[in-house]
Amino acid sequence: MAMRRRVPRDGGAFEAFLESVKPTLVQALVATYGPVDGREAAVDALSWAWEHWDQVAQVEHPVRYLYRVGQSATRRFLPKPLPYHLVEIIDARSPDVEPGLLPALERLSEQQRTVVLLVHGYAWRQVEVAALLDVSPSTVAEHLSGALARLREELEVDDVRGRG
Amino acid sequence: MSVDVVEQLRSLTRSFDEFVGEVTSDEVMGEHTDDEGRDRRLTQVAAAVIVLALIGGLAALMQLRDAGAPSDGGTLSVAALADALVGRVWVAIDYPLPQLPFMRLSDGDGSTGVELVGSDGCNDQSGPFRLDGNTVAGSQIGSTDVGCSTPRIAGVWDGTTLTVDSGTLTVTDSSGTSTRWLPLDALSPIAPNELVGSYTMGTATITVTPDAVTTDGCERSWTADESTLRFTSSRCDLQGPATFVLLNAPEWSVVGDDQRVVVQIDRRFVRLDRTDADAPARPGLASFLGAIGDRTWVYDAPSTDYPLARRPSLRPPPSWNEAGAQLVAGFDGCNAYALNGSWTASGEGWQVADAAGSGTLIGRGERPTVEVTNGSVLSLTPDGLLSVAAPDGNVYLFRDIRAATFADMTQSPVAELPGRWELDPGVLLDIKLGTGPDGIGVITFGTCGVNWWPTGNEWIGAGPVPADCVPPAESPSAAALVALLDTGPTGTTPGPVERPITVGVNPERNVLYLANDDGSIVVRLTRLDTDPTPPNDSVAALAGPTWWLKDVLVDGTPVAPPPEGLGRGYFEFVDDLPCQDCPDGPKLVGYDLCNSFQMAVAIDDGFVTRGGWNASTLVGCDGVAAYEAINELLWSGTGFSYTLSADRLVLTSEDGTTELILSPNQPSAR
Repeated sequence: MAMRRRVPRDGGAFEAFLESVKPTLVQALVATYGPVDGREAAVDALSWAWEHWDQVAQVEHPVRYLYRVGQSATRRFLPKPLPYHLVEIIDARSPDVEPGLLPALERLSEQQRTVVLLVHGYAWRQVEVAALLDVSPSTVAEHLSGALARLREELEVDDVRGRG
Repeated sequence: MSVDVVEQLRSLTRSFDEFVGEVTSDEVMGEHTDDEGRDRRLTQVAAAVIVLALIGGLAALMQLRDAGAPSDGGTLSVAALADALVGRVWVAIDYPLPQLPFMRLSDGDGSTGVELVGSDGCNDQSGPFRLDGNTVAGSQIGSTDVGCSTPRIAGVWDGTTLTVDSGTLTVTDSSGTSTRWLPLDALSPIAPNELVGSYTMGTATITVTPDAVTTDGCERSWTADESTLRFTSSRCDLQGPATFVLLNAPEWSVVGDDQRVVVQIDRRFVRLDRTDADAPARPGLASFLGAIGDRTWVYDAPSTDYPLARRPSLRPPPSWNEAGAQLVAGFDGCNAYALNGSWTASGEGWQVADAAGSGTLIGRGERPTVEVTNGSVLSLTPDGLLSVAAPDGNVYLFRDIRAATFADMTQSPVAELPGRWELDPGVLLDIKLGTGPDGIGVITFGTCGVNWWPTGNEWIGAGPVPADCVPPAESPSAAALVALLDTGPTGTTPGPVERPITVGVNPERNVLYLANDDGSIVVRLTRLDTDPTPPNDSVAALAGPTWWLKDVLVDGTPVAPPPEGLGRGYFEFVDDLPCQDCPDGPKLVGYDLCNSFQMAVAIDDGFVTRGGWNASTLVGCDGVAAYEAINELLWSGTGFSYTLSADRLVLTSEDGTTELILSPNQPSAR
């Protein structure tokens, strides 16, 4: 056990990198794991990048790379329920959000939830989501369609946009 | 009603954004310091311990502790025993009769040791004695010889042993009879107007009103003279020695608590037991301090409420209620501190009053702190926890680490240790049992591996922390753990230097406490694995050689060979793996033409079942058919089957479509 952590010295370059990837990475992991664990996973992934900056600096798609690092950090603590248990908090802060939305999102598959929140919640393009998840755009489209259908069904509402 | 699901999703993510807030650079980079930062943190920890010692807390405690005494005991060393005894009046407060035996002990001259003047509850006694260790020798105590039917107490004769534990003197004579004594100065003075209430004194009933003391057939009016109750009416003609003494005295001087008061009349002492229905259920100060003193109390909140493993802790010394005495030494989660002052009765507990403190001054940042301050009220809960009610209304519960050991268990605490534990959130710690004849195990966290071994039923020993140990920077508690475990340079001592560490466990046995001898460092670990028993699978059939990738087939057809430069794929099956956050048991490690990976496995009857734990370098290698086929086999379904022959291992995916042909012979370089 004689491994020693590598510590980057070029803090300036890393800080610029941090500012460029942080918003999208946080959104991606929050979409997958919710605001609590997603934020924690993002901090873990970015901290990992800080420790392995010489390696991360060479990565072609750093958000995808760090998204996987964040997934790995989160999965270390499985099994546990997905953290969509914030209904009370969300209710208090956003009374216009349907109470059934969070439970409905929780019942989606992980990929469906990630896709639908990134595309319709955070306004990502489908090709950007495909790049993040390392799947084809058609796969994203399928997940998106399925997720919306499930949400409509679960919420039992008329979606003026979807039905229009 | 029409609802726009898409707009709902946007509202939800806006709530998420508000909830998540800003991820700051400090969060990402701040805790990942270089070696200089680690040194700084360790210096802070060391400074905390040093300053605490300097301000008297640890120094006083350690001075009183015999080097050979058990780590959990409050028993005074022989050297300190005489100092603790003399200059005090000791009363046998539990004596069944109201007129209490007492011993007034003072320094004798050079040849006589300790001088005693007292009473055994019936006969007066006086004379010198010496101490040989904690045994009375050369006793020349003389006694009156009145015939009594009073209960016998252990006398201070030759062969009698004296011990002071948590401030209580126990005298045990050669017949095995023990008597418990408290020093009078451990009891709080009680003002006359605080005495108003009802009492029993043996079989007699005593009532104290604001202007009179009444018992059957007698009433005497009184006035308060500062701390003294002074009678102003004539004496009564009473029967019985205690009531006679009590109600025929010119004045009372009273100490005690809300349940028992000791009235001093001239040189004698009488106990009254309060019977008021509304009297607070508060232990006497002496018994309270005896219950909480000279032991380490660890803040017992769950990890969700207090995330750091290095826990706030308290250690009240075995001191008495002397004005300005030290009340507590502790660690508030960031700084070590000591508090001097006095105790005053408050509700069901005892309140810190007139407190003045000193301590280290490390910046707290966002670190939560829990401490005893002026105005804090301390009390014991029915469950034996120490409650600290802060002046701001918050209540913090502390657990006695000594009581949290294994008194209610039939097995050794060592059996509780192996497994995976969480140090700070996300920082894992692995404890493995020793397998060699010396029984030495290892505690692993970050890059640190520290030996430990069982030394008894209540504590373990630890060895020096290796020089290349770098505690996980993201763990504020890791440096404290290093300070707890590290014995420092071994110097000329052969082998590791012993570092006793007290081990405690909560009743649910999912929280472990480790504390050093003086209680200045307490670390709390939370068990992660619900089943600490390692799997029994054997990898003997597959372990040994490195299995090199020879061919990859999908539906029986070899896939395109991987491009040059990707290196050789290989697999190794190992009994176990020294890794930071993995469970015990067999592992498969290897290289899949793109990523190095590790996974927990169970091997049985020609099938490799994938375990719940895995790790990978997680680099994407799209378009490499062999890599994709390997990953399909490794990560699909529940595992894969294997066929072993002398020079070949074939792994087949669960659906049978993918086969890996492996060879123990390293292929020649391409």
